[in-house]
Amino acid sequence: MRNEPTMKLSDVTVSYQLKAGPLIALDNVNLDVSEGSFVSLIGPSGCGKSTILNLMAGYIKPTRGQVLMMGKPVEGPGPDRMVVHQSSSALLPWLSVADNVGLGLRAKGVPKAKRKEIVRNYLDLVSLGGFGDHPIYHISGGMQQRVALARALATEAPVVLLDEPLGAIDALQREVMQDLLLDIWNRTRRTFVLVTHSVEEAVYLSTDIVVMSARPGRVLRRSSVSFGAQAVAEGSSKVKAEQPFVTAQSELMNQLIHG
Amino acid sequence: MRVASGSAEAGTAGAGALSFYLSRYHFTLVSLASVVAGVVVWELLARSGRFSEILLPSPGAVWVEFLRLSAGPDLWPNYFVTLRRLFLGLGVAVVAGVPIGLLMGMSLAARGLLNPPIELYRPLPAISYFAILVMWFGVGEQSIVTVLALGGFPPIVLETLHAVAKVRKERIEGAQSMGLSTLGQIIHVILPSCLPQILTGIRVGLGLAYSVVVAAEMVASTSGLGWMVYNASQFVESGTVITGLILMGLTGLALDGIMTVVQRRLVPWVAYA
Repeated sequence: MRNEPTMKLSDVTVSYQLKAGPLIALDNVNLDVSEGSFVSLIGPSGCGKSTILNLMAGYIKPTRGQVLMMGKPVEGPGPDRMVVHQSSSALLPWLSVADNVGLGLRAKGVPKAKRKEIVRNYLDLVSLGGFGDHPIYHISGGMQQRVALARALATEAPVVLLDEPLGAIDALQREVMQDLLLDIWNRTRRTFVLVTHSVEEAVYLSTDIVVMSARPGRVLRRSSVSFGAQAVAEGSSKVKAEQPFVTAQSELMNQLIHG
Repeated sequence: MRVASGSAEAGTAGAGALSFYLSRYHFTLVSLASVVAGVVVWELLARSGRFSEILLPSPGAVWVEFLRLSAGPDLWPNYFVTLRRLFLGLGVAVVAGVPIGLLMGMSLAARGLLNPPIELYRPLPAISYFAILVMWFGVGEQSIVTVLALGGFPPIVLETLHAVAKVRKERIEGAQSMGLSTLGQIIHVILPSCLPQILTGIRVGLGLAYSVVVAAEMVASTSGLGWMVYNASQFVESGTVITGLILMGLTGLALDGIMTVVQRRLVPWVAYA
């Protein structure tokens, strides 16, 4: 562990001037994300969890306070913090699966042969080995989401920001994708920050769960869990059926309902 | 699922709650019957003896006239003159319209600056400012190509600029995260995202330019299909006039059909959105 957290929000406030008055999206939020952790942000709609993700990505700037990556202020978007957008809406339909994954590498100036090799590796990692030449509109929503994931990983970004990536996927696919995410996180040892509505997802995948409250968005509490690490060690998701997981899930649900 | 080619009308006719279902095959059959019926009515009217043969020649007579013109030196050269003017004019409209539309879509300053002149001349029928173009450039190619370019320009600019506003935020954000420069974002994200609407604009512009080219040739030109038809009418050569009109109609149909194919080939993902 290094001393500087990989991502840090320091006294961050984000507010917007609306006609009806100021809207405070985030109110004085402090948050540390340490290297290699899997942090889930969970809370009711309007709690600012997506705002935190957008701050880390550099898409928006804080009204007050600082967003830091490895101790340096975040100035804007960059390939060291890749985002997996909701329902793969950031993919480009005129490019093939492989070209979507390779676009960031192309922007970095990685030569073609090397690019192809990296793209193939990451497509294999998300189990899309044979689909490189397919247009993205020919593959299912779940597969598209895996393309988005491979794209985010391909630039070797140390931080991967996931904005409800499994929200629009059917229940069966979601189970598969959860295990895929865990597996990739475990294998690549990147820092993952996940915005989610799903209590189960947060409890299962995270090393740290950050519970937020709405209007104004604040961090209510933060807790550590290790079910994902356990699942990786055991090579199965049967931990989900055991009592500690069920208890942790209902506790988190309680916090969300009663604040 | 994908609707078979050219069956947009069949699809909508079958989809309405009040209309009855018609298969693609039967739809084609009914469409053909409509054309045949038209020709039959025309033939009957021509044979009825109520109209002078000079004003309303029969379909057969027009066909003979078409064959005669087709073998002669006038029809096809004039036809291709018209097509060349059309493509030159539309080409200028596309080359100017797409970049200007992108610029106006991305910069409010550019939009504020360019919107008033475009919106002011846009409602004018193109043939109205053709008068002043003829004064400036004289009778000939320059004035015709200019009026076509001006006539085809507004829909292309407007479709492009509205498309820019609708580019998904996530696509641009994703490109920024990947480290694409502004130019890279334009080339890899914004322009292709706008392409479906740009093609719609080109299609509308083509339709406008096509109607303008014929009118302009009738007003001030000594060549082209429009001039040929107008000139023939001065000599009451109705066979030539009707041949020219049918050729214009079929050409317009073909141009629109080509645009449909281009759209399907160039932006196949739209069908899956």
